[in-house]
Amino acid sequence: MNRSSPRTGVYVCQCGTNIAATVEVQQVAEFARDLPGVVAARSYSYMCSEPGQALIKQDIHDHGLNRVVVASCSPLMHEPTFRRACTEAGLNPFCMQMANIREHCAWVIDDRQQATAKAKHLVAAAVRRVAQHRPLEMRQVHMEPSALVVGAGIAGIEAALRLAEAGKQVYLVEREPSIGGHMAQLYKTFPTLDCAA
Amino acid sequence: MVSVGRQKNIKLLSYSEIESVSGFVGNFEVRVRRKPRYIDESKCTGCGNCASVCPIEVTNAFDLGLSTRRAVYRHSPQAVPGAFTIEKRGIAPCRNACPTDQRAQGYIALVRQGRFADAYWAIRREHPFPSVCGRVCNHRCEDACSRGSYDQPVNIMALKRFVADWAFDHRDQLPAQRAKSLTGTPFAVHPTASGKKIAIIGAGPAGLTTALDLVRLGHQTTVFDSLPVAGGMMRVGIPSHRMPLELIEWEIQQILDEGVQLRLNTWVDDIPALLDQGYHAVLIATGAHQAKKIPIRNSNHPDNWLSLNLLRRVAQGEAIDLRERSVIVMGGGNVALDTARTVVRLGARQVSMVCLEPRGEMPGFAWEVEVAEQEGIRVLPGRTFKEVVVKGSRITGLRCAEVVFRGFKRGRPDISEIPETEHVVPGDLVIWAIGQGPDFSFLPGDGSINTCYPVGIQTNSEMMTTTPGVFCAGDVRRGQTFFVVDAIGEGHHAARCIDRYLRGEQGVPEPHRPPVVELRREEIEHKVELGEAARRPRAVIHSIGVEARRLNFREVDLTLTEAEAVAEAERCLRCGICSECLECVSACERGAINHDMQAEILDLKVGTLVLATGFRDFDPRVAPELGYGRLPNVLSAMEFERLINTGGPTLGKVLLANGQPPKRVAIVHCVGSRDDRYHEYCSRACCMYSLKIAQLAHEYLQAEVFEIYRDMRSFGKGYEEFYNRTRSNGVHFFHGHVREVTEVDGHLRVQWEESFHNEPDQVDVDLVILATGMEPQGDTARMAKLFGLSRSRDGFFLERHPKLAPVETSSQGIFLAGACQSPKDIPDTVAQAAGAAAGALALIDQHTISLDPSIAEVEAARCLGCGQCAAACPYGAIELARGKAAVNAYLCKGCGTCAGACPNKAMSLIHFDDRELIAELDGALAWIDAAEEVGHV
Repeated sequence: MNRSSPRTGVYVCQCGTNIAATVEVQQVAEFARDLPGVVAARSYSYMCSEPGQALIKQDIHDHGLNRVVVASCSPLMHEPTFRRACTEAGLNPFCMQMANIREHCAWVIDDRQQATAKAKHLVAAAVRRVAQHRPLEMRQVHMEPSALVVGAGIAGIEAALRLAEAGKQVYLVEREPSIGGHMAQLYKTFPTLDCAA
Repeated sequence: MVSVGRQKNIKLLSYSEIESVSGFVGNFEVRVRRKPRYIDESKCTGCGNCASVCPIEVTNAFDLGLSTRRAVYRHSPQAVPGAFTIEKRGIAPCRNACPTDQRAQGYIALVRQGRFADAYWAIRREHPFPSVCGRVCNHRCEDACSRGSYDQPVNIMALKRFVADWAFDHRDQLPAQRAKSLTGTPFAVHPTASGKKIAIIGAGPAGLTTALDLVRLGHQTTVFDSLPVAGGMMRVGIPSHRMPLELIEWEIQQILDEGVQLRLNTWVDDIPALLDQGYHAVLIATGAHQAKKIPIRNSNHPDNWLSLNLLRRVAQGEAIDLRERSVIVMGGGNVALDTARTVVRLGARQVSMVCLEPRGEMPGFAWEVEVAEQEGIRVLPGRTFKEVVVKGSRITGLRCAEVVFRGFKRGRPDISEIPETEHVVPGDLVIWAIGQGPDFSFLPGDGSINTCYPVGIQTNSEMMTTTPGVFCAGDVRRGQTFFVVDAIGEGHHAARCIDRYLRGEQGVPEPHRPPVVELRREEIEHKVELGEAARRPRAVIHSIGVEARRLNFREVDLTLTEAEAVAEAERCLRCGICSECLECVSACERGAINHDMQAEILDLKVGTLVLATGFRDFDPRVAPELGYGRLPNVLSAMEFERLINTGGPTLGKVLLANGQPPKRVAIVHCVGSRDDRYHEYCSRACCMYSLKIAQLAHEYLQAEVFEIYRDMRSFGKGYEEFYNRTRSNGVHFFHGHVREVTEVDGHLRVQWEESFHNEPDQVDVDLVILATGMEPQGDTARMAKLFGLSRSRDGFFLERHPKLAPVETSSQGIFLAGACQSPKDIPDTVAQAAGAAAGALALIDQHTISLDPSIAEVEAARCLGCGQCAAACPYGAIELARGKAAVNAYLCKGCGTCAGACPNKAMSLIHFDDRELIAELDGALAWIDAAEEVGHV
């Protein structure tokens, strides 16, 4: 892919009213349409929903997009979602960039104009940035089929038993001479008042 | 708990700590240190015989100090694994200081319990002559004793003598437990015969110790001595007023009873012949029996006697009458003191002791110098000897001069005479006691056994002389007189060396020396406060009166009474916790106990990690207004749990300090929680466990119960119903914030502020239970660092997202379960643990794992190989190879620290390179002008 000729689609999410109540999403989309390399820009109620993702996929197909910007929530939340959508549409997932206009704009700025202005800043930044992205491949490595659990109180015992019952090798490490933790010291436990050990 | 033991896919590593964690998701490398239990888990049946004989009682942390347990213990009644564990802190300083490796803490612990026979056999394990070292030792154990830094060291030597004397007095009834005294040693009562013969020259402490050890290893040993009696310096060098003959004779007889052959009156002067006669090895242990003289004028006069010769004659029963003599003993050491005190007992009219060293620097024991003076000896220190004055044929005195003494330089005294101080000390018999050395006249004339003057016989680190198969130990090796305890220590060492020489790798190895315990002052004070060690002064040794000593060799110092010995033993701080008496080894029928067990390091490779390190209870001492630790009858909730537990320390009985059952019980909520002085958060479990405690107190104690709560949080399934049931049982509920618990008229008064109106209210009860909250484990910070995790503001481990990823962490493949993430009750903990297990399973079952490509990369042309990136990398992912930085793609987590550290922009982070970041900034900033035009910003 050629970094010098980006064809970018921008997708501004309303997140119901989470974003739309404070940010003029339509204005942001229109603003984005005039940014360099942008060939499509839309606003939609829930970009993360199936129809929202379908919009992006359709545009990738119809407009030959090689870059995508999603202006929505924190990437912690939906970056995997939109990366997957891009992959499904044949676009390298690392050619997608998110602009967080919910946590960084809508939820922290009361003034509608200021919130909208900042959203535009972030979208412009993302559009410029994504133009520089290169396609990247995930690295595949072997996974040891085992687990090590540190601490053998109820939490550690429960986790170890479940993993072991699924047939995995489990190392259960406990610093005391016996497992059981605090629970071993208890007489009866609520709400059933049954014996702890 | 039991299912864990049965589940074959779980490898349970109990009593273990995580040492280090490296690698990455799917491929973590974890180093686990298995602490030594000193008991083989696979052999221990949990019968408890070991604990029933263990003399060490310590507070039981499992019962929060409400009960005691032994140093060998099972963690809890339903422990998994059920094996016992021995708690050790290392070896006690007393053991470490003793050349014989004597486990003094062991026999002291047994004396404390009145188990004197057991104590005797415990001593005999390392020490064949306790009656001697109980009397004449310089007791380095006491110098090292931790108690010495608190008040006075334990009188260890007196305890040893007490046990030795007690055993001698009870020798006819003494249980034949020799086998017991060999447990935990490489020795056996009936060892397999090795077919090897060893000749030992010299029947002193070194020779006899080696002989005994070798017999116990299956070798045949014969000890030769030129004297008609065995025991060497112990027998003919220590006068009877300090060391009664019958005791040392009994101890030697015991050695002979084990099969050591003794050939007395035999002067050996042909060592090569011994080897030719079929001895496989020879030990030279002839001691240092030649008293020295210096050639001053008239030192050849026949009334110049040698100290050791006199002591030897007296010890062999020769009647020597010195009643008309005036005696000058030359020397200031212990032999000089023994000589002078012997001369007094032989009736000498006047006895003077003259020595070079000033008082206070005399090599003899200071206490014995005092005793000598009490017995009428004139002590004249700080003098050099000029000549023995002879008038006619008789000695009339010793001409001396006073000196300034500056110690010894290269074995010679550094002194200067004080002018015009010459004087004559009157006397008609001079006895030389200025030191002694070995006699080498029996060595082969060809120099095949090399001596290194002025020291002794030359040996290598395996105690072998320059002739193969000939070994040397004791004073003759060192070239001068040391203490009996040193000779015994060398004897043991020589036995091991000879065994290794005869058997090669099958021989007895040198023992492992664990680290030595160093107690801090606060720890010592704490032990005394807890009553683990008695707060009384050191036992004093009583002596018979000076008059009673006249013209006889009755032993001067008395031994401790049984009561005094037990009381002195109670002063021991038990530094090592386990005393190493090894009684448990004898008691264990399965041979499961191994006091030399060492930690085991396991390197494990695993795909995922689950942290379930739990919480710790808030310490209510931190909130002093609630009276915990200060007022009796204020308990923490966990203490109440242990007490009400039918399997607990009181078998379910809860009693007040006065022994009465409680009638009115208050439960104080939110102790340490929801309080900005302590923890802001709610601990989530306390409301509900308080209700449970109320029900238990109501049902089992028939007590009237008052709950003083801040807000009742009964949010889980079935919880509100539980609350209603508690209420309907007649438990009283008061809404308020407890300010103070005080003692009023023998009751506990709990005062609170009613939350809505801030009006004070109160109730008088006889038992207060504090519902303590949860806080992060004490080592959470260390664990976070070890696993590369973050912590939230409250100190608990930080999850990746509170709602979307509550069991994941920011490190892929590391999951959180239970209260290490935040306070939780049992149902929530189980649910989260199941979630963590599911998360781990989902990863494992992918078989391969995708790693983010966003990692560091090096532009080789720019890299100068300065290494700053490698130094900055928190994951050890960068190495320098051929002068350039190289990134390990699997270890790199893409944090970008290296890119910031690189001075030449050679290091960048893929997906976050300069071009991308500058473009992002350009995008953000370029538009600001436009924004200003439309007046938005």
